[in-house]
Amino acid sequence: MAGQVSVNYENFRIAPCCIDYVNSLSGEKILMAHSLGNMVVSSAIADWGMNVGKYFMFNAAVAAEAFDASQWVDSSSVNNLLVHYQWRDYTNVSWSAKFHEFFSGGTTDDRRSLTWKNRLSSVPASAELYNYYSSGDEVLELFSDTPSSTQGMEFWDSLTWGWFAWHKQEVHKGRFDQDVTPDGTSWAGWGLARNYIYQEPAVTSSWSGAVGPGFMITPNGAVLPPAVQTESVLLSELGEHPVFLRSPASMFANSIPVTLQNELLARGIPALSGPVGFNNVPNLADNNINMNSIDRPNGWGRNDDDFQMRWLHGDLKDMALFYNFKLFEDIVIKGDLK
Amino acid sequence: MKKVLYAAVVTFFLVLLFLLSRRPEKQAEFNIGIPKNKSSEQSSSIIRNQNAAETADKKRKQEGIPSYVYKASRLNIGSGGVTVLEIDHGLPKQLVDTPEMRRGVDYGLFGAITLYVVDSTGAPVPRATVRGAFFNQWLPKDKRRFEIETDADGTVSLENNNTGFVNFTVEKKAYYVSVFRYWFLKNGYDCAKDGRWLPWNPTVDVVLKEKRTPIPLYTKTVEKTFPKEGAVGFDCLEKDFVAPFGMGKTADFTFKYESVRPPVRAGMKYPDFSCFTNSLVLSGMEGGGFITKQKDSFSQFVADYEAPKDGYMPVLDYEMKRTTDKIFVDRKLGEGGYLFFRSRVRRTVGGSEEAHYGKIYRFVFGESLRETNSATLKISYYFNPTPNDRNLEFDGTNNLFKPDWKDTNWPKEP
Repeated sequence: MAGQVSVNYENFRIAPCCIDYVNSLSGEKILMAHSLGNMVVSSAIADWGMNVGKYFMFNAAVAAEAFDASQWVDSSSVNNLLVHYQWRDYTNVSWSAKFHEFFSGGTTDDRRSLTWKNRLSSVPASAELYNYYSSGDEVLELFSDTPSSTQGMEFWDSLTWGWFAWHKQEVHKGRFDQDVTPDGTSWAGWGLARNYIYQEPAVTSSWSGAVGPGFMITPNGAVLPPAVQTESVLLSELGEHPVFLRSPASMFANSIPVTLQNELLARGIPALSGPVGFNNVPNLADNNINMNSIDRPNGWGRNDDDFQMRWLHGDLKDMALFYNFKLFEDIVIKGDLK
Repeated sequence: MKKVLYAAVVTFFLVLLFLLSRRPEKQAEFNIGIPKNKSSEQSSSIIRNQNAAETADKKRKQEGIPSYVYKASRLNIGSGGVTVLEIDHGLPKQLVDTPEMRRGVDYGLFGAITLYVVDSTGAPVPRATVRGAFFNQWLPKDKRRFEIETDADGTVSLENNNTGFVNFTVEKKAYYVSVFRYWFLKNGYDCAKDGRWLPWNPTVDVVLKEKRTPIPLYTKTVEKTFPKEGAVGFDCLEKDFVAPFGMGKTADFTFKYESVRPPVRAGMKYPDFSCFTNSLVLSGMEGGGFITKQKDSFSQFVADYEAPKDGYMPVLDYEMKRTTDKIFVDRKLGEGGYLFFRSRVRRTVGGSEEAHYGKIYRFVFGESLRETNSATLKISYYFNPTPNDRNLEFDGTNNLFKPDWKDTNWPKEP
């Protein structure tokens, strides 16, 4: 789980490698991917024009907003579980997940692309796409608050090791130093530029001298802010002087190479929607199949005290065919694989 | 340098995790319907006790804690596909977690709950088995799992250190299994004080549905395409659309699907359905109709036992209206809903009315990707062939279509 963010980035990098092979195959091509493998396949289709007829996503560990922007939620309500709890009383204008909006008016500033929203939206129009999700998936499940790094991971029970991993990946972006989260990163995300940051109705900008609503920021170790604040920034200036972690420096330039954009997305820009593999994605309509609801004529091979009879992240392969065969029958029908 | 630091932090965490999971269980005191002086027996993985409620009440009185009794205010299909038991707890709102809440999330606090297990009529269910585990990564499973029977009053008391919630199953022979999650952590509320999750030890009703009179029914899942923009009848007994669109003879209801199909963008194979409008009108035949209900998602048997006698709507409208980044209308039978239907209504020679009853568990429609003039339909239904018999409690084994149960198209309930 600790390496999941890095793996996320690696998937963008691996994507071009399989294009030539897949495109050279004849006949109708059906591609299936599991979990983060869907980042590889989706990126290959969206970014590199990989040509497939049907694409089956299983337990896809990809933010739903990447396929369907309607799933992106920028509310700071406590019900928005993708927002780090320390940021709930901050205006959403200050979030790194909305940083791109400062540049959305321009056509040349690459910072407008620093969002998961619509990142892979061309995939459903490029292939016959099926989303096999599971509402019982423990890896893609969202905790009812901001999870800690070890949340749910009981040392002696390997079945629990992946619990809430996707949620941790997203809300711990930028929190590596601040919470000492080994699964976090040191890039932007939900990290704070300074220890103390207060929003005020009117501040005098340290940058422009203008007065308006904004933040007063004090450095690490400050005793009692705001008396010792060293920086004030207007809300309208957050595009250049954000209150989230100002790292890496390359994020604050108007020209960002595509590979770095991908790395920034993976390491520094949190999703504001749940994962595809846990949800019905509306623009896929009846091509959403909840594996947790698929009929189980022979019962289920596991009735666990923590997970009961849920269809877990790996049950596509971990559960015996005797129990999950109806999934494969459905795949055969949808894929015309008889 | 960064990698070394990272490795050091990971090693530190693993060692810490190991030590904490092995430490003496001071914060792992277990109290599941058993007086504290019996705690030495509680380390066994299976704990049974008949006096849970009495113990809980006695304990509450001793500690001067008032006894709260709650009805489940809401049953949501929550994270993990588990039904979440929610209560009107009345706690003050709390936007940003308090340090004590974070301590609870990170290391655990004590939580307690008393379950009052009742059947669908509200009568208490004694000797029902309640089995599950508290959520707490710092405790090995044998210190956080439990298995206990309800007492004569149908109550059982659970208490343990946890980092947010407890999952549990309630079961008894001749009842349908119920599965729940109860969150001690109440996100957005000030729910932690003095090392405990609040409210402390609420008594909450939990329903365990009894088996009444399960019967054989016709049941089937059908996945088909049908033409757009015209009413198409569906025959439940023939499992098909009515002629000329299929082999059906008598329509139980009709579908009419319309849409504005978006164009195919340059370089793409299919339309972009993120900017889309469609609708489906589901109509009953004369005298027939539909009633929409919410599933009892916590139970193995998710529906009411029998179809209502009246109150049927002749027409149901479903609709989706959306642009690329916003959904304006999304009216559908979601996964949490189901329909009762009434069909084949007629007058007998004696002048009395006869009708058939059924239920629809899954009803999903959409636009065919490849065929521009077709819609897709997926429907799972149950149909009672006996006129005027409203019982729809399927016995789970005797499908009147006499299927091979290995065939994927036959739903099986429960």
